[in-house]
Amino acid sequence: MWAIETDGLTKIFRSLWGKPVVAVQDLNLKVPIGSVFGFLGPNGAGKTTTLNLLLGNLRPTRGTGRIFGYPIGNPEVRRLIGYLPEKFQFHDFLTAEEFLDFHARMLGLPKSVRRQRIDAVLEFVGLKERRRSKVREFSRGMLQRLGIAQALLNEPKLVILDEPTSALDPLGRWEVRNLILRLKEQGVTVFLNSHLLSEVEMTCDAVAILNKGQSVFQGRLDELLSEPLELEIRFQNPLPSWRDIAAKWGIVVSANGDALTVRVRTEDAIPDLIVALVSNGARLMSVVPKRFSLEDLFVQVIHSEPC
Amino acid sequence: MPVLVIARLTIKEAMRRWVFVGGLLLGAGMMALLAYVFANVKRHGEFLPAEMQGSLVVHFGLVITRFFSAVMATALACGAIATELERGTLTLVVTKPIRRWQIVVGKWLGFAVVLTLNQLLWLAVIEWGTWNRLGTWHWGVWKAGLIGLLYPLLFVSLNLLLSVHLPWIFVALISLVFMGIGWSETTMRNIGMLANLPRLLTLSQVAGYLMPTGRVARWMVVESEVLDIVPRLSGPPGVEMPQPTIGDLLYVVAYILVGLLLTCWSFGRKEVSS
Repeated sequence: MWAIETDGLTKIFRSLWGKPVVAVQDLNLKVPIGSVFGFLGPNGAGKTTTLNLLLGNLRPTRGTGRIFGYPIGNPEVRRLIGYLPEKFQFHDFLTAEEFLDFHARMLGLPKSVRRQRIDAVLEFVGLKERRRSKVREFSRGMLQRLGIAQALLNEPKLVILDEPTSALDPLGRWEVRNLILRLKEQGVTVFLNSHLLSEVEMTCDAVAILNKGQSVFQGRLDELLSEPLELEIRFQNPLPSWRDIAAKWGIVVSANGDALTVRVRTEDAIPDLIVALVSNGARLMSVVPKRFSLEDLFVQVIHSEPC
Repeated sequence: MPVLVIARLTIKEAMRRWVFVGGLLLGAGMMALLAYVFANVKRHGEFLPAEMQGSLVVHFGLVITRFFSAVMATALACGAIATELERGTLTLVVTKPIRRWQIVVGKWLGFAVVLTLNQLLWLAVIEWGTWNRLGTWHWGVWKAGLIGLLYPLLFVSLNLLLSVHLPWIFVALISLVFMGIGWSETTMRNIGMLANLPRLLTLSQVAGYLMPTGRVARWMVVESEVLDIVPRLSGPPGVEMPQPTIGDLLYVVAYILVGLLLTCWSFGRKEVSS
């Protein structure tokens, strides 16, 4: 069983005038249980539409979706889900405790469980000291954490976060990232929609990349980014012979003026390559590793798609 | 129960809004002013008889409650759904494991409670103004006032239904139009009867069906027990006010309930994008 599984999920928006808009087309997603799954794509790719389909806010035009085996669109499935949208506004006249109590009641939690869960989630997100503060007094980062707290009230098996760090400063992002990693440790599946590829790279196990409503890439991050390492080496005394020496340890990708770019098979080859160059008289100005990043993958995938 | 949870939050939210507090105080102030005016106005150099003063305070006090309760119902309910979704305050609510109709009924109930409390306060002010004149309790105020609770509920149902798809400004404007249609029923009927214009009478009937505020108003006039003292309050000379019937009340209640049911159905089908 998968945490989220979609089969040909499609959403076409039709209006009385204007052409129909295909927001999501034949989406086949498989999100492993207990993983942190990054859902990426450029603006307008259909990410938020997909989230709304999964939450049952939108009805699919075609295709199906399941969350822990239950069909999407069923209100009872929402008991398994905690959700924080990108754009939210809380009733700011409530205190943090009152706000969480309201959502706990909406989840149908009995009184004894409510109190205990409110304490637990406030502790988890680090807002226990501010439980009696009005929501309007909270900073953006604190609001985000409070939002995550409400998403965790019912101990969900799946937490869906839509751009949880986009409006935060670096400290705020660090805090939210840690919260996500702690959720993962507890076996909660996290479905993360984000523009911030560096954040995704730091937290996610697997990603899917969406473009123009279609999934163009899906897989585990460690497999996707296990490309060989590239080194950019700058020489004080560039000579053609350095190229031949470097070729024994890897593949020379490019040689421009005083710089050589070499793709090595493993990190272990790097010291040997440097020793070989220096022992043959090379004077090195800099050695800069260039790891294939998620951003590189993202750009490569998106640009390889036909316009 | 989610319905009661939503109702409670709606009440809390409504009571914090300046339009609620302002409307409450303004309405109460105008009623108090009425009592003062009628106590000091003279006819042919003499103050009006106490009984007449009391009846005038009751009648026009109830007119003021109708006006302000309609405005307040519109102001509170016009942004209840689409605007709240746009703002993001309803986004987390719709993704909880509750049915859409529970959200609608909860909001309706919350508005109903707030407007009822409002109305009771205004009735108390009218009663005070009357008691000052007559020195006795005027049960007509309360009988008419309780029927008058239906008046703002008409606007709550209408505004909730419109607010499913329209932003608050359009809902408020359409509601004002319906307010005008409802009020025009009596005027068109009176002119139609005085000038013998059958088409205007027909239009008046149509208006009465589109917005049955006139039916509630006629019940309030009769139940307020002012016509025995000041018969002219029923309408201009030569025009007889139609006697209100149980059918009128049933139509109003049906109008409110159908509005609520249509809202539940419409919101249930609405696609929401967070």
